[in-house]
Amino acid sequence: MVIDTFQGVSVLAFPTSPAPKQIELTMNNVVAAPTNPFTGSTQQVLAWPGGDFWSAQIAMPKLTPQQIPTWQGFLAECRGKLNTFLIGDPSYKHPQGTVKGVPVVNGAQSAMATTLSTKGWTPNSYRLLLPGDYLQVGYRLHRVIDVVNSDANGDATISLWPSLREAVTDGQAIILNNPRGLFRMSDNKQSITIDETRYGALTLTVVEAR
Amino acid sequence: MRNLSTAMRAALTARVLRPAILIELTFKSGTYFVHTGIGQITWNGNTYLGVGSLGKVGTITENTTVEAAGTTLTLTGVDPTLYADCMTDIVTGLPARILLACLSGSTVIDALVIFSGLVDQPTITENSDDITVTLALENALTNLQRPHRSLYTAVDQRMKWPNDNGFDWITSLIDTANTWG
Repeated sequence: MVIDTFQGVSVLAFPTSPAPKQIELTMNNVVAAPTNPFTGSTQQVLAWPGGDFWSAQIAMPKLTPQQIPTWQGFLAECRGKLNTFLIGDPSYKHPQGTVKGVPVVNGAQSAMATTLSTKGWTPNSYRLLLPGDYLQVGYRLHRVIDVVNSDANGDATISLWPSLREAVTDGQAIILNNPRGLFRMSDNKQSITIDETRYGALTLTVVEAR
Repeated sequence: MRNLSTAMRAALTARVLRPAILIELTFKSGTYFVHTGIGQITWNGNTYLGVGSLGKVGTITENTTVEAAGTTLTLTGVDPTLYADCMTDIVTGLPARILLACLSGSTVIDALVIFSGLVDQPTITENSDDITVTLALENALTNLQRPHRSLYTAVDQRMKWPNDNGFDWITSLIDTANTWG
C-alpha cells in the first residue's frame, strides 16, 4: 500500500506481521586509507563526504500460508529497486536516554553535516540521548554517537551517523520513538521459498534509498 | 607547477582529507554544477548539486610535451539532471571543468582546477538495470588539430581585405617559367 511519495517514487507500507526474526543493520562508509607497503603506516585517509549509508539484511520467521500472500503482494509492489519503504531496528522502540522536552531542529543545516543542532529540550538536562540511540529526521534514520546533554537554553548538538542526507530546516521534527529510515530492495529479484509444509522462508537484502 | 593556497596546501597535507570532485558542464541550455557528495555546496559563487550521478572520472594526465590530453566522465544511473541533457541538450565544444575540492563539513575550503577543456560527444550504454553515460571531455588544444580554412588565393584575401590585390598574381605564377641569365 502506497503511503507517500519521495523523490518521485512511492513509499510503501512495510508489512507488520510477522515481525522480522533477525535484522542486521550495516553501517557503510566510503573511506580510502592507502597503506605504505614497507612500513604498514597509513599516510593519509580520504573520507568522501556523504559517502555513508545504511544497508540491511532482514530475515523473516517462517511465513504461514495466510501471511505469504501479503508479503508476495508487498514484494511485487516494490517492483524491484523502484519503490521504497520505511524500516527501523525492530528491537529498538525508545531511546535509552532520559528524553525531556520536545526536541526539534535548531536552524537550517546542510546535507553532509555530521552533527545536528537541536532545541526544545528541557534546559540543563543530562544523558537525554545515549550512544547507540536512533533518531529520525524526515525519512532518514540516524544513529546517535555521543551522549547528548542540553544547555541552559534547552539546545543540544547531536553527533550523528550517517551524515545528514538532505538539508534540514529550522523547527523540523525529530522522531525519537520507533524511528525508521527509507530503504529499497538491493536486488530486482525477490521470491519467497515455500516448502512442503506450505510455510514460506523470506530474507530481504535492502539498502538505504538515496 | 601549480600555485596552491595556504588553506589548500594545509587541507591536502592533513592526515584526513575530505575531498570532493566538482564538475562544471556547459550544455545548450546552461551550465550544470555537480559534485560527488550529497546536498548542495557553494564555491566561487556557484551552487553545486550532489546529484549522485558521477560514477567515475577518467584519468587526467599532464605531460611535459604540448599534447591535447582529454578525459572522460562516467555518469551512472538515470539522473534526470544530466541524462536528458546528454540526450538532447549537448553541444560539443562548450566549456567543461573538473575541480578537486577539499571540504570541511559542507564548506569548500578551496578548490583546484585539475582539468579544463571542452565537452565532446557522449556515449550512452543502456542495459536492463542501469544506464551509463560516458561523456568525453577534450583539451582545448584539440582545436589546433583542425585544418585551417584559409587559402592563398586572391578571393580568400579579398574576403578579409577587400582592397588587397597582393594575391592577384598567385594563380598565374604557378606555371610561370622564368629564364634566368
